[in-house]
Amino acid sequence: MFTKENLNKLYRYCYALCDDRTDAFDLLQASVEKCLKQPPKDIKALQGYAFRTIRNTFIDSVRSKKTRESEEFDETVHVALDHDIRSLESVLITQTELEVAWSKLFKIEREILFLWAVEGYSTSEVANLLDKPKNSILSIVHRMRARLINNRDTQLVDKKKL
Amino acid sequence: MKQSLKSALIKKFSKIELNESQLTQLIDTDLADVGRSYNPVVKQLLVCCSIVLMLVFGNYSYQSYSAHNLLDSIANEMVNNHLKQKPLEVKSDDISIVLNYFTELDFNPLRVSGITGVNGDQLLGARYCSIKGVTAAQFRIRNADGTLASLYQGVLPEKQLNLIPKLKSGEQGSVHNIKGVKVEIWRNKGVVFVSVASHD
Repeated sequence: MFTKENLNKLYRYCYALCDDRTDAFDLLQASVEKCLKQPPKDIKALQGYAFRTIRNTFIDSVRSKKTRESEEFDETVHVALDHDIRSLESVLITQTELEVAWSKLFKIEREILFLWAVEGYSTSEVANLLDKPKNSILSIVHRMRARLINNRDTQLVDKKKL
Repeated sequence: MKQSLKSALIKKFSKIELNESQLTQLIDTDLADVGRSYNPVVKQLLVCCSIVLMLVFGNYSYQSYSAHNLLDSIANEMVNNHLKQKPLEVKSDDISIVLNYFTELDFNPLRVSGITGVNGDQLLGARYCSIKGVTAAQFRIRNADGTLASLYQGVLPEKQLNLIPKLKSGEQGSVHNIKGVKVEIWRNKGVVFVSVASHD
């Protein structure tokens, strides 16, 4: 049912959620088994279905661990903003700055970034997959963008100090 | 070097790939599951087919059971009637005279080989009787070997009539052996025939 390309795509999504290759593989394996046990009615919708399965499996595992981040993951802020997910396109960053910033991002922020940049999802598509209001996604994007820029500038100041 | 966030993310994720061992493990899981997991559409088809088969088989079993019961019941009734050898109401070896006697039947008795004497058998006469409570005709015949045989003709309600075997040429009807006599039941042209005779 899954091709090599499919599996790699799903693995990247798992990595965006877990930020750890081993955890990502465990999550992928559990999700693939779930998809095989209960495949989608329409095989064409396999990727979306697999993404949802991965996300639900991940949420279940986070909930069972009851970590602080699970609360952050469920965060929803209902603020109407003029920002679009495309506002992220204006952010300029080096690869090193991204690596540093990445480790400081919340899970949902990593997930949104992955879906937007790698999978090419629109704000509505991200909101639909994450089962959150569009405004919540925009709110998260807005704060994340500010933090990315701030983090990048802080790194720049730190470099200059050195 | 500064680049757009999107480009940086694409570059970062392009390095995230499953290694060969992980891929093999996942593909093995996939293949192992294909054997036991069906597409939902196929699953639904299988369920539907099972239900249809159960209904068909159930109906067939019920019909077989009903037919078996009916034929057994007719065979027993006719054997008891034959063995009683009740007095004939019309005595003649002329098939036309005997057939003309039956004016109270809801059907026309048929001239069949068993009563026309073509096989060396002799028609002795006939009388009214009943098959499953429906008025019928009984013909008594002396076979070439001297034994007495009875041929019954009657009609049954359609539901019961359809359970009686319809013969193609050369075929035998439903054969029963009861109390030392052989009974054969069949239908032809909407009439039920029961032949009761001693064994050869």
